Amino acid sequence: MKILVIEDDLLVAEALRITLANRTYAVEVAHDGQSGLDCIEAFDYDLLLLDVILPNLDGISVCRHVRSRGYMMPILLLTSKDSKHDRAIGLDAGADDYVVKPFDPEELLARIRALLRRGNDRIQSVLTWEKLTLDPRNYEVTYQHQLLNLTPKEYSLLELFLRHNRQLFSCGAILEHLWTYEDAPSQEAVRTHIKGLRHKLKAAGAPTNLVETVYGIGYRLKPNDPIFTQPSIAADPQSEVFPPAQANELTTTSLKTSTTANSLQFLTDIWNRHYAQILDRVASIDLVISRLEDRSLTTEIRHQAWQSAHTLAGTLGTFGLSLGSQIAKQIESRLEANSELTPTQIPELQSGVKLLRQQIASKTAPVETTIATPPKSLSPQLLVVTREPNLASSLRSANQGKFEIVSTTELVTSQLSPTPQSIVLDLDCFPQIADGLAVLSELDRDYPQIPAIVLSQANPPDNITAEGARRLLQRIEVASRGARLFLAKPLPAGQILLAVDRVLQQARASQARVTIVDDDRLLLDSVSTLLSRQGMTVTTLSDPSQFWETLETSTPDLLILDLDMPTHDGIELCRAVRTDPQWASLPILFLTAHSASIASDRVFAAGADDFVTKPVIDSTLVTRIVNRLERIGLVGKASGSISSSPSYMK
Amino acid sequence: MSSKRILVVDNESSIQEVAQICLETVAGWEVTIASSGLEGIAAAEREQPDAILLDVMMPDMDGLATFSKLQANPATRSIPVILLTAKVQTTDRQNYTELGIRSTIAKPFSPLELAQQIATTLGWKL
Repeated sequence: MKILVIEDDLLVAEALRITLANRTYAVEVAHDGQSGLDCIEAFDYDLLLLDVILPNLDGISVCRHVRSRGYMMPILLLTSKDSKHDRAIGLDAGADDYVVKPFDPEELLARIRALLRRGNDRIQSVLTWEKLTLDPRNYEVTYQHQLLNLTPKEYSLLELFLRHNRQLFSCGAILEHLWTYEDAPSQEAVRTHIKGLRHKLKAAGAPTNLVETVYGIGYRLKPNDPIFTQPSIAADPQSEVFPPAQANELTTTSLKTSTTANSLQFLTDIWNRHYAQILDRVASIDLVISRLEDRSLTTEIRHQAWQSAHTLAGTLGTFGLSLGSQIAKQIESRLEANSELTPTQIPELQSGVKLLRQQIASKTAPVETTIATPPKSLSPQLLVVTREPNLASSLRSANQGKFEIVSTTELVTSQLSPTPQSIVLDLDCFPQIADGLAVLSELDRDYPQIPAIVLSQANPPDNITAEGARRLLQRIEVASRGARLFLAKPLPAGQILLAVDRVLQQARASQARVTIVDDDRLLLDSVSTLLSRQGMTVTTLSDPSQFWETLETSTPDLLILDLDMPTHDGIELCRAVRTDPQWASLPILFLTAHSASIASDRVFAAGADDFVTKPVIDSTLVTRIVNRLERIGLVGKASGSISSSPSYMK
Repeated sequence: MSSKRILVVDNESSIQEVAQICLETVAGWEVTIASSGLEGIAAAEREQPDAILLDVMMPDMDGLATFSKLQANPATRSIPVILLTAKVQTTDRQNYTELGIRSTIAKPFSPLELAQQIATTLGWKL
């Protein structure tokens, strides 16, 4: 669990850091409100510990900003003021709890545990998964009542998996949750900790794959029920109509608790396209409330609102917001024609609508970071991240229609949609160079295929040697994070565009070519669309008898074969490919409807490199392909350079 | 893999899109969308799909009314219908089965499971 402490008193901040770090939390510290906000935008935190009186931006304003941008992690306010008024202001601004300084460390830790617990587990404080239990109060982990002796990192890993027990975590995501930015080790270290954890679980009698590896993607707790089901946050039938507001402000967690569904980009895209319609449905429930207030509710308005609530119950659940779906269902039952509806129910409906809006907001990208643009243009999209209004406009006027230029002042790398062809990143729009470098690292990790071009101001040299050294260091830092070009400002817009064009041409020349052979044309279409979206050049073939000609004309960097096809099956084609010296090391990936264990022996024996079982899940296929291409250096990111020809041709 | 053709009848456009993308990419089926009961009946007659996924609650003509029209029409009578519904109480399910509805899928559905649920119901292989 990762906590951000925003505290200007260095001594208090250090004391907090040590107290929390001793309890296995990953802790980062910011010393003023603004830099705290910057951290929140750049990294994921599970909880904020926030001082009220802070330089630059006070704690209450930080709270409001955080909530207005849609972040829903718990916030615990720290303050020396102990008045009911301040407490109320803090809670109104979006804080979840309040601790008065000087605080008792034990009480503080208990409150933090309570806030974190709200995520998944409102009733039980002990986290369980089948025979495994983890008690955060005394840091005890048992399997079948047998105590496990875990290292702090193994404990944290397990806690992460248990708190988000349906979520798949990549190594990168685990690093983000359990380590601070400065002390993050390599992904190999994560694998070592996982190995250690598995070893201890196994020794206690747990199945070896309790912590499951999803090949090419990451780790998760292996569900006992192989069929994916929505996590149910079942409302206690004995409880109030709407669960208490505070207990329900767990939207971030219910989002993160995710459901594989949440991680699917296409669902997010659809959600964004229909967002206005979803809000209209909520508005029709609002209308019932206002008509109830002035006693002018008609049957028709009530019926419409009832239908809206019904539709929302279905829609929100499908998009992964199970709590929202339940709230909508409760509203639906209140609005049913044969149930009584009186003005006394207004507060109940209002609270339901408020929760609904919170749920919807939690899934929706904050306005500032959404790249609002109609993505229909045929020109390649160039995303310009800058705070200089002139830069974006001069680029637009020098552009002459070559690029579709979209500018933004802030970049949230997790929300790059639609994916631009190239990014121009102005380092000067970050308060600290380190923040800009962190964004570059994220881009390099998450979007290695998008070339990034960095702009930075060349400062007037007071001291030529020092300035020279500083700029060299900056260039080295930028280059090591995968940026393709470093340009010193000021630079005419035309030259920036020329540079972008050159970089894109290089990138195009090195685009991976993928050839897919499958007799199912629909699958060919869908996989082809999917891979083209990733910037790959795709050739498809549905008739295996034309395979060799297609192979020679398409000269792929990677070949995807269906296992079962008429005339020649994938195994036969794969063997044929391997007998030709030119293609002996061409990476080959199989698509198969057979179960993994049956297919693996056959395909590997024929010389395949990997296989994906049908039904094909977008993210799995793309990850496997990218992994394969990375291995032959085609989308390599370590060196930042791109090999000009596939390795098997060398 | 033999390709199946599915008609999805739902008035909610976000659900139409989710169903279409999931069934096309996960199962590789061909999906036709209809936004109302009437459109659904016309599409069923025209396209002769292998199955119909039919939302219960729709304005104008609801899913059950649509279903009885499909049953009354010799051209569409034999197409299996799966109801997409939030109301899946045991009594409802019995009523549906008695009407001749093959199965129900509860709303909200899990996008990635939709194809599997349909395939299981109809005894199709994915």
